[in-house]
Amino acid sequence: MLNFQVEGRTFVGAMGIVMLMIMVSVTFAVVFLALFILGARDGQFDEDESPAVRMLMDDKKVKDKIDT
Amino acid sequence: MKSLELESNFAKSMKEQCFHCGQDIELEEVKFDEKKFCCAGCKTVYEILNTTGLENFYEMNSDAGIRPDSRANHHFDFLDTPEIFDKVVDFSEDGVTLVNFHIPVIHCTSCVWLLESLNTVNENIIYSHVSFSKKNVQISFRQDKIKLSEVARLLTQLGYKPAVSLHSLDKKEISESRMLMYKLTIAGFCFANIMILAFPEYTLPFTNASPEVWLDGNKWFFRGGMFLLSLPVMFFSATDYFKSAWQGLKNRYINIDLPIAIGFWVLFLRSTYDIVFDLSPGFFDTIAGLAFFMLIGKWFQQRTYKTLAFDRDYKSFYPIAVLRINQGVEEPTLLSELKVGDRILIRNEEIIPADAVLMKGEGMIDNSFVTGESRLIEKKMGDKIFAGGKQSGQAIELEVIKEVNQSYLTQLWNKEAFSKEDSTLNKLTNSISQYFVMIILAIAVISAVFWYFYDSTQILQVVTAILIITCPCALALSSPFILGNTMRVFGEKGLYIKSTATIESMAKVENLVFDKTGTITENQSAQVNYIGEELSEEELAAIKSVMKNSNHPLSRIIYDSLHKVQWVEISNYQEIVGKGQSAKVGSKEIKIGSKRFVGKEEDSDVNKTRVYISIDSIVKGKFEISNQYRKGLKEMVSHLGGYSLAILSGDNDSEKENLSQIFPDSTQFYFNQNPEQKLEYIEKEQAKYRKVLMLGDGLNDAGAIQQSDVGMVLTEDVNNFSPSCDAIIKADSFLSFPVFLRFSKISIRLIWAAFTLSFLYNIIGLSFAVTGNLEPVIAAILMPISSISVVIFATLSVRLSALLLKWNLE
Repeated sequence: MLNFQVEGRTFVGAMGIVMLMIMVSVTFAVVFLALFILGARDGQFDEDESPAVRMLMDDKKVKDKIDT
Repeated sequence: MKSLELESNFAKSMKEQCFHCGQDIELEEVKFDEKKFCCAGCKTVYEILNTTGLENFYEMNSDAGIRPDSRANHHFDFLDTPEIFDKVVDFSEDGVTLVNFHIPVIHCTSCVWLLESLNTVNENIIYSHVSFSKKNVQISFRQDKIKLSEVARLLTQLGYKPAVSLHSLDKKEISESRMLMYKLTIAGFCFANIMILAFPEYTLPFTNASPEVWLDGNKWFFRGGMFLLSLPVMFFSATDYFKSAWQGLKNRYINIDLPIAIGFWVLFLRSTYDIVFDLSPGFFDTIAGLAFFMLIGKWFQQRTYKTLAFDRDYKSFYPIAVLRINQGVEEPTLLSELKVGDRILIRNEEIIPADAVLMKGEGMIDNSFVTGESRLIEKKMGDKIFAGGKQSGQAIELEVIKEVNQSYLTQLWNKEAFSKEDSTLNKLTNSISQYFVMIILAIAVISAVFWYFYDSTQILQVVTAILIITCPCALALSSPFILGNTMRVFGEKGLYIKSTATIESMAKVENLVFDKTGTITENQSAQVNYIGEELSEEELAAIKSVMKNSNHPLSRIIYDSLHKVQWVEISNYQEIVGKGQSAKVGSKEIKIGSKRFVGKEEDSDVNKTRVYISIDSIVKGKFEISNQYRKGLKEMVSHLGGYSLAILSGDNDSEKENLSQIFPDSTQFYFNQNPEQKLEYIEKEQAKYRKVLMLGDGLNDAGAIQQSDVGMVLTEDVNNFSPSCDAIIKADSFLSFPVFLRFSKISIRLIWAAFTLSFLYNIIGLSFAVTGNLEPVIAAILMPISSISVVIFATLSVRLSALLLKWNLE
């Protein structure tokens, strides 16, 4: 698999872990990318000024607005 | 004859301020809940906020309220007709409707807070969401309980009148900016990951140790990974550049995107070739890095334009619906549905949307936005009326003879907007790209020839290296960043420009033309003198009450000066713009206006700054208003040394002496100019190949402003419509005018500096390429560094220059 023979000594896949790590981290990153794209599709990133302002406002009572 | 000197300036400082909007209260103050308001509208908003528990509004920002528009003609009923309703709303199903309104007056956190609390004010509104930078509010409401027109009216009542125009119906913008965001993030993702994969082979030239063997055995993993990750970049993120370059080629001109596109493709093909034949790890990291930085540049440009730029063409001016008369019934109809032969009803203050013939009623058309002439043109039955005019007076019936888009003026405006757009944002960059491409090709050919004789196996490597390293990404980033930052600086200081092309034009301007009234003279304070028979308290009250109903600047000035006078009820109010006003107060007939209007013979010289009064047909006297020039005008003018100045005024030459003391001797003065003459003057100067900047108030110089190379409108309220101007300057920033001009020149110089910087990188890169030494790692280092450093330079240099300048000449 990832063994090499150099001067009679074998490196037992020590560096092979790098490739595994890269594959795992890229997979994670792809998940984050997908989440980002989903968020962008929902319009989360269309406008970035009012969320900053909205954060400072007090919560009002949340009434059940939409009737079943 | 007695004369009453009424100075409005002094009296102003003693005025109180409205609790809601913070503006000065003229004597008609409205008291409520132990607080004072300037009008019933403000008091009503306060009431609403109090009863719904939203008093916090005042704690967030003092004076954040907006005085509601008091005019009664808010016809929002057209919003309820099905066709129009469908066009305006985003979504409507199951009794819930979602609509997006554009509200230009949104300006602070309190606005956001209040607009997002609409559901507290009216329980049939489910939620509302503000988009601050676009000044939009998205409202979802229960359609069966409250009508769309009522939602619009509620907003107006609170001071936030929605602007419903053809422009707001264009919904393409969101998808474009979102696409860019997707492309940018994918490019960033690929860039970062490709660099991780590229890193091991970077270390190769520097070490001779044993890891080489391992790497050698596994390089397919890394190289293959890089190749795969470069695919989204090449076939999704960077496609805009390819399309633009192709467009340019099709139209037979070279723009900056052509060498960029060439760079991308050579990089990709060379890298693929190299990894297939095991010659090098390829330049995939450079591809992704290039794409990433260039898209950041685009994104930055887009953000700047979204917040600052404006689009003032007919679309933001026309309404979206007009009343069509169908078998005696008036029904609101979308403009796009108007057909030739339709009968339409145009009421007072409404725009005529299409070329039409007058069928019924007396037409008094105000064409100021079209020709610049604010005088009313009388039209009788059978007369043709062009689109773009505004009816002033009674409602008239018209028969449409051309569809809205075919009408003469919308075509004119359309063409104008199109041609200005075409001249592209980076004129400078594009003109350089022509030379750039030729020089690169020349270098490539020379190098190819050289290497053919020296070592012909290297030709391909050298030529592709040249094409790669000379990719003008830094060049392409310089102009947008510098101009974009300049635009932001201008916006912060009170100058709003339409596009960055305006900055380039401003830097080239040689002639400055000023309009007089309203531009270099103050709109607000003026000295008012009354000459004539003494007026009783009662009569003054009557006059003031009549004037209250007019928006004419002269009426406002006189109204302000009659400070200590009460007001009374009036009836039969009529205003004929350009002539005068009349009304009945009790049993007396009051007429206010030009000399002829009140019944006397007109003088030979037309002096607009006299307003005559007649009561029961007896001319009592006149108000004389003397112009007051804007504070600091003389000093401002003294800073305009390098330009030829001219003043075009619609008034007579009585002010010539005063003006000669303020303006330098070389200034040209033209008086009694009508809008056509103003336009002709601009054309005359342009025929001499001079670049002209016209500064006016957009009221009676619209044509001249449009014709100028830079048309600038000076205004107290930047939300007012000013047709086809290139820039809007806030009245408060008037004194910064010379500094704006100077800064635009500095801006252009900085662009050249940035170009030089990017050329330096190109030369350094070329020295590697031509000698056959361009390793991927070198390209991967050089290109991002050049892009980043040029961007940093662009931003810092503009900001620093802005800091070092003295913006207020006081």
